[in-house]
Amino acid sequence: MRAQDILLGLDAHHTPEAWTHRLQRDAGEIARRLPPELLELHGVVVGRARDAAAHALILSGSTARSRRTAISDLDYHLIGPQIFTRDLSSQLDLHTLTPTELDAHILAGDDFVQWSLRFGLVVFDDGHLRRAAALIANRRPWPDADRKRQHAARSVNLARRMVASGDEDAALEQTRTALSLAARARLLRAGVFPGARDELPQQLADLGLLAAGAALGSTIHDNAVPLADLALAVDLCDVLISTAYDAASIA
Amino acid sequence: MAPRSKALLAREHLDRALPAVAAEDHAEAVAWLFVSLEAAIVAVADAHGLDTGRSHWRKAEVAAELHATGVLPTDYADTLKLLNEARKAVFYEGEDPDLGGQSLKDIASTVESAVEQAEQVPAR
Repeated sequence: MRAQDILLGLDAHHTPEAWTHRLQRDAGEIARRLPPELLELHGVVVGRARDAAAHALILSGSTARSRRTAISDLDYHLIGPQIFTRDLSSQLDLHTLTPTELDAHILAGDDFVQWSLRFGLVVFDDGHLRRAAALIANRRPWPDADRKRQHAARSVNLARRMVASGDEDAALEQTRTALSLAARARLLRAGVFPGARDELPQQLADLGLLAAGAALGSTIHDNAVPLADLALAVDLCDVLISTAYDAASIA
Repeated sequence: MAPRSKALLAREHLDRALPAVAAEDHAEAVAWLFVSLEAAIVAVADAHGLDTGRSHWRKAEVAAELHATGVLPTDYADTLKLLNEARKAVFYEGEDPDLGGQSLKDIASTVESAVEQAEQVPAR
């Protein structure tokens, strides 16, 4: 997904009429894309968000993209007050922002909140999301690739030590995290908005980064990956991060 | 080289975490405490024939199940959730972790109790 394509999509959605159309479309997509076993959890989250007089709720992440895997959470962005969730399934990953924080995160180059606005499915909105979408369409803030690269570098450092620890499960998880972050940094630098985690391998391959894409795909889908392979995957993170500095001239 | 047992890995991860806990290095501490607790839960679950799968949420579910069935005296599910969210805040978002009002030392004590439980079960 090239930047211009995505921005055009938001351009088309931020008028009141188009936004209403998006809400109707998203309602249908939510019903289609939520797995049956998560419908009850979704209903509880929506009910509590409405009871708390939240401004808006977006179904985000892999579920919104129909790209769930065995390790997927159920992600939401909630605009409004915190709601009680400790009694709910650990699959739930709820990110709560105030309306002020929503705008600030967009303008500060946070890619996750932009991801939710671009690719997420709006459950309900009192107008704050529409204004946020208009903010992106008008100001066109591109997520901060340097910030993502710094996060990735920290994660790569930890992944290397997890691999050295000999714990295959922990090493697999941390290597996947590091590769995902490094991939997002690299894609953002190349002007490509990263998709859901399971879409990243193909997006990397489209940039010619086949080995990194394959390594990430393996950490997402394989139940076990030998530590030696994970060590190589961590090295590929370094390649992604180093080329994220000057990818604009490469891509 | 034979893979080390999950109980041993849990102890080694805890040993890596403790200096960070003492130094109030939240990022380092939550990262190693999290994998220590997960390894401890997997060790106990394996000994009781429970599949923990690949996802974090499944391990939290199993932790709750192990408590509900009387295998573990403590329900570690909330601590797993808290550490997972703290870890993601630090490494995904670059933010300070929300420890729910608990101190790192309190959380480390909870994790250590789980590691001790894991060390008492025979490895499969």
